[in-house]
Amino acid sequence: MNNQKEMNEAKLVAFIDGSLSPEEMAEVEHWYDASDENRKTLEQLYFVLQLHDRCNAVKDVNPERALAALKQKIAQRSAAKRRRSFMTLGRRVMRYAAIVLLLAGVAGLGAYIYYDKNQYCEIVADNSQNKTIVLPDQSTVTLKADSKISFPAKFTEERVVYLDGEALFDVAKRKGAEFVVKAKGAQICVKGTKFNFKAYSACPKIEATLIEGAVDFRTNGHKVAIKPNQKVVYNAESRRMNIVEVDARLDIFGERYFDMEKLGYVINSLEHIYDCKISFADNRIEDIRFTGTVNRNNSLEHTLNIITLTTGTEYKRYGDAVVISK
Amino acid sequence: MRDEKPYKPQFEGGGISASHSSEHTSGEIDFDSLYLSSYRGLCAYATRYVSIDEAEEIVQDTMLWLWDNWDTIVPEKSVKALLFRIVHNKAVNRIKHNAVLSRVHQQMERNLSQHFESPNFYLDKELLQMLDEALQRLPENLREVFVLSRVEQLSYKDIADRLGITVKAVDNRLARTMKILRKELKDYLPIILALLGAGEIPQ
Repeated sequence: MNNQKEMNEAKLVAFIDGSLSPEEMAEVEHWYDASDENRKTLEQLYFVLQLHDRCNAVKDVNPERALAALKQKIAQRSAAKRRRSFMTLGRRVMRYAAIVLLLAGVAGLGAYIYYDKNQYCEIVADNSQNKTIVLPDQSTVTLKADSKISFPAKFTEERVVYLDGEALFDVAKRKGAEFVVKAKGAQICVKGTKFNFKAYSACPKIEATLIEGAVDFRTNGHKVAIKPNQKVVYNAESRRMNIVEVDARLDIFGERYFDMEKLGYVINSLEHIYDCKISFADNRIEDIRFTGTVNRNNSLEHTLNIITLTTGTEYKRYGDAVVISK
Repeated sequence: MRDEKPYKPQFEGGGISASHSSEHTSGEIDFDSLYLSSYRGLCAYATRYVSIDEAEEIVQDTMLWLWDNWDTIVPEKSVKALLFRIVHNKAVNRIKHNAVLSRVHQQMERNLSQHFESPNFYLDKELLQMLDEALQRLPENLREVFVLSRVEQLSYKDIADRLGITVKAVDNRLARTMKILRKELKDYLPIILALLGAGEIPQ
């Protein structure tokens, strides 16, 4: 057709960008179909704009920096691989070591990991097994399932680690240097202490339980000092904070350790743990001493068996009531 | 005439391709130079479908794959084509919704696909340099409008407000720019002329 000269190229640009009204679009399409010349004009414009736009899109791209980033990623990945294979080996060694240590009556063992300097380490406990790791400052962390911790391979003056999930920290004392755990906008600052911190990114609730020492729990400008056997429960959504008195070991490990405690006292704890009623057939039994660990995760029968067998007593169950006799 | 005006590249790095690859010169290419010579082009290609941020992510993923499989790939000429293929697939997979293109858009895409789907389009430094230079030679008032429209993505109305001119003037300036660019580039674009058949660009 002869209307090719009337078509404003700015309108063709707008057509290519898809910013014309349906009527104008139809007009351009009609014009495009009208002649080979028109078709060529539009396609050349399309080509030039494509060339320009692609080029413009990458004008700030920096291939050298991207390559450096990739190399770093590759280096970190192979470091993580080395750590993993070390952990598997470590686990095998630990199995034998654990037997020896159990015989010696010592529980708990940490795995030592060696890191390259100036690197950031990330350790993930992705299965149901807990992972115990030793940080560069000799603090130990027991990572619970589905938890992740990251920390520098070498601490500077400040010791800062990042947690997503739950972990038990046994922080080594270091003169003047604070140890900070950050998670979900909250942080715990300590000097040397033992505490459990639970902050899964998928759940708004953050919980920190202190076993020994003293810590500061900080979030959104709030700062709360927590004492041993206190648990701070903070909801990141409602921003409500509660401090609850707990038996920290029971709360964290589900276990209670008794050291030469009178049975009267032990039974009191059991009543709380198992929500049952326990009495003695004879008052003198109350004064018998018991040493051992009771785990909430075991059944009441199992626990009672342990206590009665080690104290030379016996028990009888009547529904929710238990009577211990000699 | 071109020498009188100092060449100031509009695009940092002077085009999509950072450097010419040495891959043809020997059977062995090293990863770094392949990376550096194709990174920008691969990103540009991916921006046909996704944002530049996603594009860089996709290209980085692809390069990591290349690193991991370096030994199994025979490093030869086809590596770049392979990279473009992978980036294409990854980018297309990312598209949440396909923009509904008009029939004419689809037809143009088909007619020009041999260019847009060719690594050379993204790696050919010369072609890009021509565009750069053509843009640099534009009169200031034309380039201004072009940049506000294509780079800043302002509407014609916004450009008019910004420059204190009428929308009609924006229209005219952009139209003149496009004519100039087509004319300037035609000498350097034998591919498009070959495709479309010889012929003068209507003035």
